[in-house]
Amino acid sequence: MPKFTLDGREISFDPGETVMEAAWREGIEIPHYCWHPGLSVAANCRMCLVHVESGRQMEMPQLAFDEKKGEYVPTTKPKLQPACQLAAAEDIVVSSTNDEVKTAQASVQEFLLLNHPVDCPICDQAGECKLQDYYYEHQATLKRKLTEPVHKPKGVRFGPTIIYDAERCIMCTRCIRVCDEVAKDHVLDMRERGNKNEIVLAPGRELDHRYTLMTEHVCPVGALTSQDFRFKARVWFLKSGQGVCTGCATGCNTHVDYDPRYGKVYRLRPRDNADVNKYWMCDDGMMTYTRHDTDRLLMPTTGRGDERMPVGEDEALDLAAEKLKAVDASKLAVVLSAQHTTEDNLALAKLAAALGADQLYLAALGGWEGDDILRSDDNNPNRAGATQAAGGVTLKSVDDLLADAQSGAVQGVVALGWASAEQLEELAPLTALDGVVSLTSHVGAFPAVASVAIPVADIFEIDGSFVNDKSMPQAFRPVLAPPTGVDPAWKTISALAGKLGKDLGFQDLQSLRQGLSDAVEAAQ
Amino acid sequence: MLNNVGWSLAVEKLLQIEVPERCQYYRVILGELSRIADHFTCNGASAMELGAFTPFLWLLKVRDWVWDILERETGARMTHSFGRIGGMAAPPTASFKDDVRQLIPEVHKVVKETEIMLLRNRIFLDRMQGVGVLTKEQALSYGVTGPVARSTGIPYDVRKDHPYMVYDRFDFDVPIGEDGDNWDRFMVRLEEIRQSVRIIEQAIEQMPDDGPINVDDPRIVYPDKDEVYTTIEATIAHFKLVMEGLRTPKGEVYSFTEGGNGELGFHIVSDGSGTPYRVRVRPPCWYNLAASREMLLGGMIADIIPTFGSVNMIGGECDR
Amino acid sequence: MAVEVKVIKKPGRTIAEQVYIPEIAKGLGFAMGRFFKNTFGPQAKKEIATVKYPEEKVEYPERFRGIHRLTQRTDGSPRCVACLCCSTACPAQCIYIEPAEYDPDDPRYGYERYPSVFMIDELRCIFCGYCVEACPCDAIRMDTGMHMPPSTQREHFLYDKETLLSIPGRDGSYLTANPRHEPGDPTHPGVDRERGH
Ligand code: SF4
Ligand code: SF4
Ligand code: SF4
Ligand code: SF4
Ligand code: FES
Repeated sequence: MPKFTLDGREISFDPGETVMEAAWREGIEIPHYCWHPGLSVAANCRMCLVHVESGRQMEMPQLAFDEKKGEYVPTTKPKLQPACQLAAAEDIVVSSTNDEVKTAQASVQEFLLLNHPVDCPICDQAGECKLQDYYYEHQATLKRKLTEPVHKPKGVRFGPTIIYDAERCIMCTRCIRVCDEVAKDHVLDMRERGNKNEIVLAPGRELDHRYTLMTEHVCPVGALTSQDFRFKARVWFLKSGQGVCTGCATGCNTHVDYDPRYGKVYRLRPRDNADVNKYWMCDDGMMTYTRHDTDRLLMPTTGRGDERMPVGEDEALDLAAEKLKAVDASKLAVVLSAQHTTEDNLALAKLAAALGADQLYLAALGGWEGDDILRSDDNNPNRAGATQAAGGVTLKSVDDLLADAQSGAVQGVVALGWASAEQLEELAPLTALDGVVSLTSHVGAFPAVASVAIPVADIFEIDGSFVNDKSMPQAFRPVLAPPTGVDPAWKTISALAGKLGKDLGFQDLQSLRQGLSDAVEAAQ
Repeated sequence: MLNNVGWSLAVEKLLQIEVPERCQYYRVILGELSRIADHFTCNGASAMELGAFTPFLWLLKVRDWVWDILERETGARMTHSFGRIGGMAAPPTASFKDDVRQLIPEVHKVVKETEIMLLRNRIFLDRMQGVGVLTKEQALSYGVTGPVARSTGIPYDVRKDHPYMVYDRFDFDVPIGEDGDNWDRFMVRLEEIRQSVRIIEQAIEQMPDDGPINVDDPRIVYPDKDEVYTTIEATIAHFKLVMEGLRTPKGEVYSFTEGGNGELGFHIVSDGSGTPYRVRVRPPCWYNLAASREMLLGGMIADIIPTFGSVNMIGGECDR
Repeated sequence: MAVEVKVIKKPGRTIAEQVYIPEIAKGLGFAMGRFFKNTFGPQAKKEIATVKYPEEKVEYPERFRGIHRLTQRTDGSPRCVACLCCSTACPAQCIYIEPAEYDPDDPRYGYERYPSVFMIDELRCIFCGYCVEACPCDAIRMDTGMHMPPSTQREHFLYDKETLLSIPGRDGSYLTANPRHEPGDPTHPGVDRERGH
């Protein structure tokens, strides 16, 4: 591989790469605003100026004052070049830290702040704002301009999700490029020039495609804010965990930003993964975090309709075991969930095998449209994983379950998950059966018809993995603690098996996962 | 105050900066005032515990006048919270020098009075002299510092031996005792009050009347409030300091100063972020307290009272 | 600099001291002298350091850090924008704030935020003044010149937004000294929804 030198360090590059890209790959960040690894090069912010010291240096003529002669004389000074657009070439020596460059960085930074509003106190970006970071690193001087800054529109509604503030905007055009290149929808553009520049919507349009939140995500400053996250939290209080989006079968990698003080998730952000989602996520996926604390089932319940009442955890398990024992194994339906982890599904499949129940079903959500950008046609994150967990048994649908229940082939149900049907009433026929046990994190169709509902941990509270539509298993880690008395589903299933007098052959996640590779093998 | 400044000096050492001269004098004067207040309290309480209530009240009266000055400067009598990395929370008030000048004769007067009241009293003498003896060797092996060490005859004073700030510009003595008993500790403190007054007198004369108090770097000290209210640059600097704290270079530093009861050291390990990776405090009292075992062994139960009083154990420093 | 050492010698004792009585009489005499001088002497006022609290009170100095207050804009709205700087800086973690957006019919809607909840636990507060220093808006101050009024109930020390806004500064003013104008303020020089975008 050819090499060049950046600040005394050898960097190898693929022909065609820019200096910025090669450095980025090596983990070196040359200060930049407009360049984004996932977008085309605009080279309009000039923050990334570097000095090519040998190889392909350029000189710029200038007049300098000569003390001796007492007049201006023509000389030259090095011409700096934007690293984001400078093609890396064999053996060039580049500096991003010498005095020339430092002056340039400080000047660009000062220039960008020239008309910037004093908004950090009310700006959601504060804490993760590039202007703040680079000010601290590269400028650190106080204001020299004493006149009133130029004022521009603030608080402009771009669409249902995004608010724009032209005063904070540094005109890097990342948002325009994200709409053009990722969402393939040219809905944003720039108008005017100089300090009147602003980002505008295409006439008659709103920012309403499926990737609007990506504009906010790429905005290096606080010019675009998300209607959802707006004013909710301060980012410097947030910690970040690694998650996988539950929106669809693509399984975009996420950063789960939560506040450890309140145990609350505030937002998701895309986590770069070149093989899955690159740098992006869709709006619906970004909003899946809101499911977490809405409509949670926190207490085990028993009884239906008006007779529903809370019971203790142990009592609920006893009751469930009793109801399931009353049903003949051949007439017991076991419903896996495409919303739950492979591990949870595997535990349930093992329970089915131990009981000798061979009627397996799969509960999945519908009502979703895919596209050829990121979104899969299937909005269940783990259909593939659940299918693998079943180990080759064909999984019937929930519609089949209803039919079987009506025909009498099914007389008892144990179901994982809440997500199974669009309408709560759809499963109403199951109320005819006495033994319907639902293990669920949320209130939903199954818990609504269950005679015993037992809460289990939600996706942010467990260790687990999903298998996406490209058959890639992806693991994630818990960020929050489950509510008191609530366990991950696999643990609850194991406890239930214990009550039924069965040993499922695993004690912890590790031994359960060993079973997973077996199951995966059997499926193939 | 001494603790505030000790900590600030440690971080400043890590940052390799020095605060402006005016601030150094300001720190010295406020610090010595605090030392006087500390010694007043300790000696007053020692005497009170032996039944001499009057000197206690008299000493505390003047201590309150010292505190009046500290309150005027810092905004609180005891929990000053006034030292800042790279400077002080505020510049000296207009009346600062005059206030201190007025206070000095009062300090002299009350020290004199204490001597009259106590030093010829047989009960006091009997219970202080020859009681709670710590030898030089024991003091060294326990790592004892400050007045307790000096009372045994070790002339160790950080201000003299490793001068920091502007202490090398002042003329003052290090009082030491001979036997390391309660009496010596009491007398060393009393004499130190006089020496502190000497330092203050010189510092007041040398301290410039104007000039900056804080270092000129928005990355270390909060910018001026007026700038923060109206300009984005200052607001960003302000936010950076609030959100992330003050970023120091990677590295390790040990910095020590003479606190009220001895060497106050801070060992900081920095990973280059805004919060320290590890901080270890060397509080003087922890070591002094450990050595009090040697002072008490073989004595009488009643001797615990004057001995403990003269060790001046500060609970917070012993909570390790 | 050579260390200048001053050795403190033990004084010897005279018979008079050893006998105790003469010395104690001297000491008593000295103390009584002070007593009469302080009570009846020409400088009695100056020599007595105490005041007859609570009839007499010592004025707190200018810089005294008293209980907090929140300043107001000229229209009475809180100057605080719920930026959470103060609660970040607070070492006692005694400030709790919930930020919120103004009502849609408020001229500040869309531009500004405000604290819907602002709570200080004055019992937990250590009166360090860091919050005041950390506020980028001059919204929180400790210049009330008042200490905490005592109470026997913990709840009385939880100061909410309304309470904090209703405490004037020592000079009797409620207003902030922050000269910044935000959009939505009639004084704001820029464009806003009223004047067209
Ligand atoms: S964009 Fe950055 S610098 Fe500008 S107001 Fe927001 S946080 Fe502050
Ligand atoms: S809104 Fe943000 S992303 Fe778009 S041009 Fe302005 S600064 Fe760049
Ligand atoms: S004075 Fe200190 S402890 Fe009290 S609220 Fe302010 S920052 Fe917190
Ligand atoms: S009082 Fe000041 S620092 Fe605290 S939230 Fe309000 S504006 Fe921010
Ligand atoms: S990053 Fe190169 S010009 Fe903006």
